[in-house]
Amino acid sequence: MNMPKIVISKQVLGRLDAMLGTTGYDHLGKLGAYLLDELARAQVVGDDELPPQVVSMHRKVRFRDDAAGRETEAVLVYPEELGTVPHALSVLTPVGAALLGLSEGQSMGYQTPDGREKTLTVVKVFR
Amino acid sequence: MTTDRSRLGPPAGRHLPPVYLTLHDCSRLRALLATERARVAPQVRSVLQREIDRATLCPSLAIPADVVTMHSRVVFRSHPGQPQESRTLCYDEEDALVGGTLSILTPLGAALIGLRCGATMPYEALDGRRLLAMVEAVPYQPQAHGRSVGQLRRLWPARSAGAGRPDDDPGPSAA
Repeated sequence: MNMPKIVISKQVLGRLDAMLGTTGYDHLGKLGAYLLDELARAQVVGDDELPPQVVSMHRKVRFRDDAAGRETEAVLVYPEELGTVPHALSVLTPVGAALLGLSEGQSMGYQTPDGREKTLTVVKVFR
Repeated sequence: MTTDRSRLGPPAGRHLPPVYLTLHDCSRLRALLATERARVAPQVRSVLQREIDRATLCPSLAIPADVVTMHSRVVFRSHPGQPQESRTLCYDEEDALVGGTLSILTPLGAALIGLRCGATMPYEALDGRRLLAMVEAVPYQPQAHGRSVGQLRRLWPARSAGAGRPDDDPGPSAA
């Protein structure tokens, strides 16, 4: 599968790198390895240079489950921020990790915790 | 390990030791290769690309302490029988700032990144000689240093927090 180009800010890369190194990386299994690979191949930009159409931490995103055709809105957060905003989605979930760095219109495959392959598409990123 | 291989002498390139890269280094090296293509010698570029592609990635704080990372001090020999040297592995632009550095954009620097202490790596010098670098020690690694500083902070926290753990404070609601 051809992986879409992903973009991430320096600050988010640093924080996720530290988070993976201090908490939970071993427990994350495949998701941790996936996130490391994604972050390593991402294009890194300055914190002020992240294009508005890119999914990033604390940005609200509307995305589509491609098989079901259903659209969902979520705000991407760090795990410790869950419950602080409505519709929070942890970046340390398969869907959250897949969304990170995608631009509007891009699709990404991911694996559900029970092993099914699914695809999502970013519909809109709100600032 | 077969007897055939030992008769072939130094490994010819297919037989490479494992390499480990921190997420941070991998990301920066990838960007370096993408943006500075013209400045990097083609041989070095292909070696760095190969190492990035085959490396085991680690979160920066989880990298083993004996792995050569960017800005690590590394004690090595550039080839068996050569004198032992000690240098700090640097990005090229930092060379002028500190003494005793080794640029990642040299064949030797590209060979050393990601190796563990004791590992040997075949590489080709700019003049075409085939050499075998060996890592003998990693006396300073930024990530390991950061971890030990963090441990010290936990053992001896700043004075303001030293009076007692915040959890032990019953707080106003307990009154």
